[in-house]
Amino acid sequence: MPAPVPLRVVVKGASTAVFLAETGGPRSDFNFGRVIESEILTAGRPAEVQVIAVPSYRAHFSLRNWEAEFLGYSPDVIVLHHGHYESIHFLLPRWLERHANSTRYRTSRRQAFYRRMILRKVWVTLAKIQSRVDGRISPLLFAGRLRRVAADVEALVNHLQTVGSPLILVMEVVPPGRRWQSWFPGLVERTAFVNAELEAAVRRIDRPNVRYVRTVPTLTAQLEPDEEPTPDGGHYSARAHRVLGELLSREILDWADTQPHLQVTAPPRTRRNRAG
Amino acid sequence: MPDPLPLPVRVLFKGPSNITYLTPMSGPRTDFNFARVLEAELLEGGRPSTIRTFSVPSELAKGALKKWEAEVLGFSPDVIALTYGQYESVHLFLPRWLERHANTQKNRPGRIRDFYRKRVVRRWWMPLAKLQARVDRSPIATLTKSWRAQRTVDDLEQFVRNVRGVGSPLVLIFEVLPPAKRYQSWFPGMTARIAEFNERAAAMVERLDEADVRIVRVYPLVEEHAEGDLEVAIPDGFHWTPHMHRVIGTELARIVAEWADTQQHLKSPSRAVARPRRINRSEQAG
Repeated sequence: MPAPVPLRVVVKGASTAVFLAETGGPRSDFNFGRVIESEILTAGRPAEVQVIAVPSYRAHFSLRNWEAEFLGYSPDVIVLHHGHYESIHFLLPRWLERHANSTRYRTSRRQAFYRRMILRKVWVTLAKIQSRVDGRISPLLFAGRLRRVAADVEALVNHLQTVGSPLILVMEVVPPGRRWQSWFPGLVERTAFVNAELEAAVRRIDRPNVRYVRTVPTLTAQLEPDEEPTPDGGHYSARAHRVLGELLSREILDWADTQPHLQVTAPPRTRRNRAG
Repeated sequence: MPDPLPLPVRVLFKGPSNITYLTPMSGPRTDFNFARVLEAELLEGGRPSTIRTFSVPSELAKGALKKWEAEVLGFSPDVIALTYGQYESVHLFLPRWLERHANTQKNRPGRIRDFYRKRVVRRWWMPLAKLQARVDRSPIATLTKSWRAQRTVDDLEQFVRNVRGVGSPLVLIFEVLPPAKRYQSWFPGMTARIAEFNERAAAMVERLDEADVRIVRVYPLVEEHAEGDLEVAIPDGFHWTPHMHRVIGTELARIVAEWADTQQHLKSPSRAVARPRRINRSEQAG
């Protein structure tokens, strides 16, 4: 009996794709990438799922790295979850945010003192100033930044078509939870704007294998009425990750059923062609 | 509808060359390093696995900390095995960049480049290494012992705390072996530095006090399978023989399989994982 070809999936995004609002939970608290793997395996299909995501990862990094990440691996399905990080900060630059919130620094007394007594205080003060400014002037003052996200995603999707037209799922960004709304007053508007831009980009591409996946209606329908999908303000809860993973895997499995190379038992005609 | 398939157990190996190098090198394809032995053993036991090994010569614990987000967050391994502490204990004062420059295997060939390596780098590297060995025998060497081992353990502790936040994986920290006789004359203080690292690493694990953060003792395996002789277990001074790789991989497979049996998501191919329970606000605040 010939072994079937595994379904290759790549998930790309920032911390939203990998962090859970409740850190340090049990091993069964999966990010949605692993939920996808689990669901595909449960459906009896072999799968290889790679999640390439780190905190504060931007769409243009995906564009920059696409040759190394996709050409050799040639995935069947690519899930893009961009646009969230780019919408968060109104004024503060990424390098400062990364420096302030990094978890990669070495521990030492000097480092601890610098982080606690200087960096933390400076960062919180700047974040408060940003929050005040964000609440007073138009949250879409720097809308060009968000348009560039959609433009980067569009360029990336167009490049990815050259790798055997994979299924590309562009995810809708979920609006911030209550906790982040006070820190980033304009984030709701920016999220709505970036979602509209992403959806328009997918419409412009106009291919059946490139789809915009609405996440909010599914999360609203499947979580309890007062349950926030992002309890910490910006990262999905374990339950939300599961709902999203199930939603994406349904889409992936339906598409895989239409692909001759992914048939779990190879159809007789394909076998004959190969033999001939 | 085809039968459901089980979820593979994901294992991440991180460390310097002691994971991937074998003594002797260039053996047949069946000379597995212990990461691949683990994969083979798990498959043999009917358990699929996804093994990733990030191991390059002279990798430091601080390097693991620097790259943890890229290597751990997306992959979200069930098990992480760490073999740090050996390279950090080798050299007394020669810096890593110089050691890498002298011993690299990534240099490009060429007449000028070959001349530079043979006539300049090699000629400077050997006297420096001899000078280091002489200083390492003197009482000055003891001054650096404490802070170096503690720094490595601090980096490991920070790494472990970070990765435990990613769904509480099983973390295995390997005991480090002292060098075999061949390298004791080159690095006279290394045995003491390694002993100190092992002691501090064990204290760190005890302090963390978590059932899924463990030390893997390899010396008992040397006693049992190499007559307690380091010359037999690591004949080149640092790297395991294919036989010892097999022994360690088999022992790891036992530990991993035993742990995996207690994990709901790795138990059965059916929908074993129920939806996570909802965390209420008071729990979150706590």
